[in-house]
Amino acid sequence: MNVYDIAGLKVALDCQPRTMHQAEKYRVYDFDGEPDIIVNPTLEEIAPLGDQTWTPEQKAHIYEGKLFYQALISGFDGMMIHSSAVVVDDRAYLFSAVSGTGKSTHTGFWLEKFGDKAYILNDDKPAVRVVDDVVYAYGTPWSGKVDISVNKRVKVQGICFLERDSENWIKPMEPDAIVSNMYRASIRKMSPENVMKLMQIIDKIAAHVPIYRMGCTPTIEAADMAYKVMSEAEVK
Amino acid sequence: MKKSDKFILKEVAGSYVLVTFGEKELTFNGIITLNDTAKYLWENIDGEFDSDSLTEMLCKAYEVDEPTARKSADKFIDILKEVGAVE
Repeated sequence: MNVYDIAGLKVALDCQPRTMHQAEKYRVYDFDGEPDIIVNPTLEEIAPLGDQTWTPEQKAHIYEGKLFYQALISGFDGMMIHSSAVVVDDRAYLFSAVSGTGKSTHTGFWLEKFGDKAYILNDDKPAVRVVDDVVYAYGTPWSGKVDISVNKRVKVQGICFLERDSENWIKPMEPDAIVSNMYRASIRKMSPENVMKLMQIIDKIAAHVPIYRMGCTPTIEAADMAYKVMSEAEVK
Repeated sequence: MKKSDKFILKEVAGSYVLVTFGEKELTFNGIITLNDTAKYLWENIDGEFDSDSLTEMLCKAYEVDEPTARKSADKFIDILKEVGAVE
């Protein structure tokens, strides 16, 4: 099987064409040892899953991603946060919300604001791992409908849960809402052991990285506000 | 009813959640966040309990009248039943 460098790990992939194509920029050619993670589901496994409105290709891509992110939770102090991750000054800012709320619209304004100085690390499902006591976000081959990702590791400066509003505001998230928001942005429907592990990972991430709640308009002013507040925070 | 022994209380990111370690893949949302009252009840329930015993527990522990305590107790029981945390 081909081996890929994803989220700081060696991952062997034998997947359907879309995943293999998206994974190309993660490919490594000179690796001889044992991979950390293997993703090679059979078509029989994939067929009955997911929303029946998805094409077989979509189902496969999403399921293969789920297997990868579950392996991160299970063995590598990592998780997936359903969010658009934008990078400025080598720091990653993650904006999470239910599909359709406007995460990519918001990070799109960051790109407009910063031009060349900003890029999207992963537009849909950045991997987030705690490595040597630092929280990093990573591009992966699973990055949404337009498949935008960069194969890099970037320290996370903040995680923000956004909702639409007629005014722009941002504040630290109430402590008792953090777990449920992080959990909802991750994979659910996992084994109980993985849920337990996920709890520990969420705990670690929240101890290092500030978590925010934001109401925003689809404007560049929202990006100005979010950047101003989030970039000034101290991150352990 | 009694607490299900398949659920445990964990502190995560500054709040308390009930997480299950049952055998099947989870069909409900997987975790429930507990507020202070719910956490108190879960930790202090010993063996069989019902709406009356929980109401009494709350009245003793908090300065609250009986109807208010009963509302909290019943809501707590409903949530537990909904996710299967009682048997």
